[in-house]
Amino acid sequence: MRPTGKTIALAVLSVFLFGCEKAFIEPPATNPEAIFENLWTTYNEEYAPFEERQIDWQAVYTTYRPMVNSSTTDAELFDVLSEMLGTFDDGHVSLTAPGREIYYSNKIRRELIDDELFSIPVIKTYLESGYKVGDEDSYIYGKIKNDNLAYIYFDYVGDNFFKLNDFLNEFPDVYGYIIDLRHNQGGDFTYCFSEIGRLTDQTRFVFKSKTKNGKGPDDFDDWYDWSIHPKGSYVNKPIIVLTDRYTISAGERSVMAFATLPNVTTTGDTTNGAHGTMIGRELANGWFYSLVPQKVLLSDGKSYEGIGLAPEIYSKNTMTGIDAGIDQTLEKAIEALK
Amino acid sequence: MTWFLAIHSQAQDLGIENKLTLSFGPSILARQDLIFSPNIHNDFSFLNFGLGYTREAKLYQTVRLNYAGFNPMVIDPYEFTEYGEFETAYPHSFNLVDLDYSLGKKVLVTEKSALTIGGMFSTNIQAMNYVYGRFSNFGYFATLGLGAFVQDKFTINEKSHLTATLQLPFVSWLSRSPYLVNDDEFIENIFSHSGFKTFMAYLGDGQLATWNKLQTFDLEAKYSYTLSERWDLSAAYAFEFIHASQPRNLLSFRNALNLSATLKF
Repeated sequence: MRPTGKTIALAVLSVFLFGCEKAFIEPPATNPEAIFENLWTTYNEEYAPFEERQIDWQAVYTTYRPMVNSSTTDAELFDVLSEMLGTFDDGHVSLTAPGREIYYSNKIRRELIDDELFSIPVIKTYLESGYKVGDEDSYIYGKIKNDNLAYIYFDYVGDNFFKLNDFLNEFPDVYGYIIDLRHNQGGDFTYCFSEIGRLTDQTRFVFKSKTKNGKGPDDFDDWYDWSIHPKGSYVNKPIIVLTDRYTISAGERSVMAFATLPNVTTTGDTTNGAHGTMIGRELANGWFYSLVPQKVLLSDGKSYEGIGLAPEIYSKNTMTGIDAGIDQTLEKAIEALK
Repeated sequence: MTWFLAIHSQAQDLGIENKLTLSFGPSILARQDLIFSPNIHNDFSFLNFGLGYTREAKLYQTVRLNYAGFNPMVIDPYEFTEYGEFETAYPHSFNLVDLDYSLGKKVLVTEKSALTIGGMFSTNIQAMNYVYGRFSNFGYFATLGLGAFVQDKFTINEKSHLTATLQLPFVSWLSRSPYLVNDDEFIENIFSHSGFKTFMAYLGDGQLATWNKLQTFDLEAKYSYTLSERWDLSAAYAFEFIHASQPRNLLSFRNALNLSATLKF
């Protein structure tokens, strides 16, 4: 019997409606062992700074793989995967699962070590009334009380950096500026790079980076140079950039940019040391994790991934000081600029 | 109204038919993009709208704009905590826009059917926000394609027609997110902080792709019923296939049931 047009149409429709799933590349299974394998393999193929963080990922597999079998519960699996990701101690690495606290690989972020040594309410007491504040303290800027100095804080690196120009316009006659990047959560460093132009009179090379583009350990794009360029009327005054252990990611790349300026002094604590870009990944059971597919070298040719950017002048607040309403690091910056 | 009637009258005198079509209906997406996830993302959505203009004279011309939105997630949205604060893991968000222009000519007309063939230009822009709990990554897929279309219109009876259309781009300008979601070039593209400039920069980073790198087609089977001299009602099954192999495998199937009303003038 010859197939009719109607039969052919129905057959084609059936293939489209019901045959599509078979055409996909087999996704990972949802059992605990498959979840472990998928996560480990993805890091093996996509994570970039193994060397910088001195991680022997194969050895990590040998340690943790035996801890997972077909009867491993979700709670046990989350614990094993968390502990394994903890070996990175990377501020960009995390694991998210239903009903659980996010696991941050970086001990400082996870345990909130010295988190309370930074206090926005205390900072505000140092500013003259009329200071400007963005939504949810995305930026704060104003004049330091009783001193001819101006202060600006950025909570993250994003469109709040457009305020840098307003800040410079509003305080053109001060002796110096304090740019506070402590507890800066990161974001998109291009906002800093596009807005920093008034603070440089020449193009300055900041860092270079390269991103994984294949599964092999040496599969990377070419190095890409990032520089800052002059833009707008040049402002040449002493600047102190404040940093701490919670200055991370794009916040750190911003510190790298400011640090190229000869009139800048970095003050505070070493930054977090998580410089590469971060991407998200999902497991077959719906859990999420994040990793870093990029290597970054500072203008001196060295990587500070896992190390952090050390300040030129070390300063760390104390809990006693914060409780008494004193930000010792900010005060050190004020004294240095006087 | 006077203008409309004048156009209508003049068009009839010249044997020209203009059609304006508004469509909507449910659609199903099954998509696996290895740049972002090894998982297959499925979603059913009613966010599927289309607007089309067709002019039938000596030449057949049609312009169609379609939007579809999907929110797939491997499991249902869930809560997690960050430093003790409850947060919600939301689904991904896919926004798919198609703009196609076809120009053709009837090449075979019989009592029961009319076969039209011609060339087509298709634009397919897909903006994705992949949500990974505490943060998300942006992804894009865009093609500007040149190819051919074939349309066969069968007359079932005086009031009913069945139209089958195949659109097949042969060569396309293909732009996709980089191998691992973002890289330095991707970051450079967002440096302008302008949505339009960024979009153009993404497009500029594309490459010419023939069927060895990009396989895509659209198929539609539409039943139309003539309600009056002015109005047609239609129900169409539409299928979109996309497969791209570079920089990582993407396979996407979209099935839609489009219900439409057509104004003829």
